[in-house]
Amino acid sequence: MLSSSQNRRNDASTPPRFGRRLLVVGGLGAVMAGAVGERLVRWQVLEAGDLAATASVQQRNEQMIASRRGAILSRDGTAMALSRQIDRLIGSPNVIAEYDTEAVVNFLTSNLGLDRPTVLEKIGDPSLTYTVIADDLEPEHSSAIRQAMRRGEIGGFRLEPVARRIYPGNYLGSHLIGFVDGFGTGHYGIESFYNEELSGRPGRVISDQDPRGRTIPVGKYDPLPPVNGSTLVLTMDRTIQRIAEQELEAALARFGSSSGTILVIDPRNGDVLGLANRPAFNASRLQDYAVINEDFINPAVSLVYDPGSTFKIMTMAAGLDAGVIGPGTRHNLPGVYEYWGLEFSNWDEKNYPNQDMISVLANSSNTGAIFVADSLGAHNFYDYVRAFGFGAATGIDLASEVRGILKAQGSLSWYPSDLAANSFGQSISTTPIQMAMAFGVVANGGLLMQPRAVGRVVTAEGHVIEIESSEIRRVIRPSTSRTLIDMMYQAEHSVFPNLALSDRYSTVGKTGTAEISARGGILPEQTIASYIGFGPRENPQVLVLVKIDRPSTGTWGSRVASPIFRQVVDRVFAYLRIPAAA
Amino acid sequence: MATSARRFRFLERGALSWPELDPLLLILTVVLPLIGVVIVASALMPVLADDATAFGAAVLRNALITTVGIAVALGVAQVDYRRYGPRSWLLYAIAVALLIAVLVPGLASSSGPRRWLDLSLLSFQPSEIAKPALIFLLAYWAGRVGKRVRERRTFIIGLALVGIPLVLVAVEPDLGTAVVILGTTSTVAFVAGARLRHFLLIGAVLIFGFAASVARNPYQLTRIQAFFSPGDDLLDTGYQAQQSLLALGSGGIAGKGLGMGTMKFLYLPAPHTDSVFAVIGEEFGLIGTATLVILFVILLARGLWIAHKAPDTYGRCLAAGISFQLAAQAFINMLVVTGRLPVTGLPLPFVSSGGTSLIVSLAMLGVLMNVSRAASLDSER
Repeated sequence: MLSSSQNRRNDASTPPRFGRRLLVVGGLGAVMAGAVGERLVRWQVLEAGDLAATASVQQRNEQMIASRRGAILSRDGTAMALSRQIDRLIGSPNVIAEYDTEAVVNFLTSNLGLDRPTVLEKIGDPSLTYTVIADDLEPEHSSAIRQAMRRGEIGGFRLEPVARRIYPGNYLGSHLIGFVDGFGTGHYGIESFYNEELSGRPGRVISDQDPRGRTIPVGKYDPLPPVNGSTLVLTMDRTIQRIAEQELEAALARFGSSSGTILVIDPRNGDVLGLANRPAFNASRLQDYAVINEDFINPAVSLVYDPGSTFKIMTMAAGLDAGVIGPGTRHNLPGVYEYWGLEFSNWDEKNYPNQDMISVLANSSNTGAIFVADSLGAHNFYDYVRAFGFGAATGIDLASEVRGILKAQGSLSWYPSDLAANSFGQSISTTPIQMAMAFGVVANGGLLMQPRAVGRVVTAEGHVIEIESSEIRRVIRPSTSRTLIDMMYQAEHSVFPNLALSDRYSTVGKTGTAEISARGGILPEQTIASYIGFGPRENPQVLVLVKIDRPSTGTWGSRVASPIFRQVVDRVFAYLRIPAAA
Repeated sequence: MATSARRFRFLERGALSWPELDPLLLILTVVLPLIGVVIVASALMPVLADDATAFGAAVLRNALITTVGIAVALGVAQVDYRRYGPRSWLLYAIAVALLIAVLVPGLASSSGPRRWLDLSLLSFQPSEIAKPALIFLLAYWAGRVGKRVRERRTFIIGLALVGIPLVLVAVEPDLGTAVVILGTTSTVAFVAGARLRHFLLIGAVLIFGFAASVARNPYQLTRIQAFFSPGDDLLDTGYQAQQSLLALGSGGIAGKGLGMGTMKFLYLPAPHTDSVFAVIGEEFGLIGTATLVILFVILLARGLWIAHKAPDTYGRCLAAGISFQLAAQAFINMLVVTGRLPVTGLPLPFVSSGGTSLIVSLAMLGVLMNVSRAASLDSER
């Protein structure tokens, strides 16, 4: 067609075979266009799926979003533990090597205050892809790094959000609260027991990223937000906790002891108002402690002791409730008494003929306690002991509670003589929290309450969940409780001087001076001095357990623990505005 | 192009009447650069993420250059192409001088291949001037020599005229442009009626030269091998080729939509210039890429039709050379992006962002429109 028109015009200047050659040029163009078309069909239709999948794998990135750990507040609203989100600086030396190393080092030294050799050592090896350059970045440092990276001055860095747990109270309530390790897992106390509730659930974000790891704004972005952890409100009152810790420290100094426990409990509902142990640990300086450290253990729930004479209240309650004795039951109390081949003696080894049960408590007579237990019989005695919660965990919401050791009738290691020893609190191992709750039975009219450390959970969404107090079982009748409290009151007031009695408040309680069992017998001259009591007598609201281990000046509960009990009662009752006794 | 007020007398005569402009080329003159403005803005999105001001400046600059380019095309369309003929020697001389200047240390861009002249306003690529200069010169010269085009003497002079700038471009090095220049000048010579024997001679020399080069530099063979198996050589040129294919495949038939492509975020090399076709492929799919192929096919077909209708040999060769150069460069760019040719660094005419390339390409389209006008006036006569 072209050649025919060329002929028609017959232009002398037309190059030879012009039309045909134009067709050749056009054909060449068509071949190239066809080659492009063939490729396009191949890549965009036939292999499009595979290529798109490869591109997607290349770009897709899944990143975890840490959830925020909930705070732990005291009953009065003070933060005992809280989490702060901070950044740590991660470097990829292999990528940093592509930048001006000198500028990068200068930036890090001048902005973060790192010293030059450290920086060089950390980013100097370009074969590494991941190194932690700084652990705790101040927020202004984080933003300086972000801006410098955005401007392209430095590269190969990444900010990794990490949570730091802060314990404003340091030592205060450390055993109650526990701590969180570097991986965000709680250990001991509340932090361990409520780890799941506090942790929440981490989220993740799936996004498309460019080769430098930056999110592509128009790419896939699929975030699953984290569920932050709940905030826990303790039953612990910060002021009461402080009183307990101060008095405990003062007592240890005064009586030359290195360890002890003070528990302050509301016997009506089992609320732990204060839980103090020494030695304790400083939750703000965990780096100073070995990973496994005795100081982390909470003796109030995780260590056992022979309660000694305080246990006589349980024996007496059982005898009264079963009806085998009454307050006026009289008995000759020998100074030394042989029971199933073993000799048991009172503390002064004196005979007390024709004594009533109040006198048994007042003199803290071991042989009197044996009389009551023997009158009950082993079967009934151990039924009551179990009912009081011994040999079983109290179920307190703190980590690592132990059950104690109760050898009862029927167990292989039990001897009939154990009944006598058990009646006054020897050859039985209990935790302080078990003893406190058992006394709580007497204080609250006969109910064994489950102790609790957390009273309220506030979820991240703001839902408030009140944790109801729960009773485990009725142990003694209310009348037994009233009778026993009256007996304890009379017994306390027949002892002079009684260092446990407050001038302002009417309390009842019992001293204990326990021998310390060890392999091969009893440790000589070493005791655990304790006092457990509660008040006000008419309407007990506060129960205090004082336990001082191995006091070096004075061995007796009545000398060591009683005055501490009184100190605690005076301060706590005043703080709680409990009216003074008439 | 040096023009004076005298040359713009057409304005007084009201020469800018639309019917006199080739309607098909007019559409291409507007549509292709507009596609470019839109897709370049999309391809520059990674800049937006870092620096919004720089993004705005780059998009605005490209839109401005495009507007200027379209205006230049419409203006040039009014200037009789025959006026350039005698002056094509001057243009050629300037082009050769600039190509030499680019090799002078201090005048050229500091690192990498010496392709650009750094002027204060826009970096300037002399090879973009060399391409039209050679077309003008050869076309004009073909018109002058007439039937003597088949003589050996003509062939040798032509070879020298093409050879000087070609070697200068090749040593920059810019082999892609060298190939385009070789292809375009060959086309002009071919349609001018040069002897096929002479082309075979050039072909033989080139094959020998290539074989010698590979024999001396075995790494060139490795590169070619890498090109043919992109998967094995992920960090070198093969990686870039691979990324283009991933972009095309991600787009599929319908594309992800304007702006929604992700491959331009540092995966594609030079997404707003050399790889802009891959961005089109990802965001507009096969529909977008095929449309672009068809537009360039139309450009070539229309250009060859104009060549056929042109009143003189100069116009015929000019139209064939210009249309082939623009279309061939587009197809070569597309074949690079689709992995059929090794990475060369050629922009996609009219679409890629870039000062000189865009304006020169549009100006050449303007010249083509003028040849078309002359052809239609001639046939009316």
